[in-house]
Amino acid sequence: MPISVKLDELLYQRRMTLTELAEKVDITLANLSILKTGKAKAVRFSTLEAICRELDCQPGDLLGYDAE
Amino acid sequence: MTASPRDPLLTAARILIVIAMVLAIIVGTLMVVLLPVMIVGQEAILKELAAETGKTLDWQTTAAIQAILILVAIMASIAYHWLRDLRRVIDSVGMGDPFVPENADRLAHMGWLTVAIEALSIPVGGIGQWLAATIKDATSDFGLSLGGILLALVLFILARVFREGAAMRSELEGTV
Repeated sequence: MPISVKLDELLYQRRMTLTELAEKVDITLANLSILKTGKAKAVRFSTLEAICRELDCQPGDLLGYDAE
Repeated sequence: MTASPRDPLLTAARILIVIAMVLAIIVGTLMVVLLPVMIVGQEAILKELAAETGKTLDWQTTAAIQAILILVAIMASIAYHWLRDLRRVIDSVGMGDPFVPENADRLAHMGWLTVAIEALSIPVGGIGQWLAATIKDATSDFGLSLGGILLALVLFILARVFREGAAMRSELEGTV
């Protein structure tokens, strides 16, 4: 899929673990893991909002588009 | 969302369905067992019926009874399969996963089985009425029913609902 999820990088920059983020955004670790590994087919606006709020970022910081 | 395994509605439905399935097996088996008895004891049965009713009955009477036995055995088998499908749908509700394409197929299958039962009701009703009039000057109310036709329609529509639901669910899978 040409859409990439840069959650790993953002978490590294914020020195936060996926488990900590899962607790803060109230999304299961399994679902966040699906998002992080790029296996998600869709992202809810509410999920984007919660992640952007906790990581203090924009949706564009989290998602990327690579035509190849 | 998973329904509790002790959900009283599902439990009651399961119990009723199992009872109905056992009844369908009993009725079907009884018809299959009675059929050779009817064929072998044709003469004796005709004599006994004639003595009871005071009428002269011929081979057509026993042929009609045999036809009813065969048709009712087929109907019992169809009813068993209908109930088995329904039990599987209920089981999937119990497991919290009813919106799957298999349930849409089951409901459509149940719809066709209902149509088959209704279609068989016509000859059974006709023969039954003829027999009732021939043997006892009575009537038979077995035949096509509006309820059965409506049930088939509801099942076909529910099959579509479940197919749509399954498609929507599949779209939601992988949504975070």
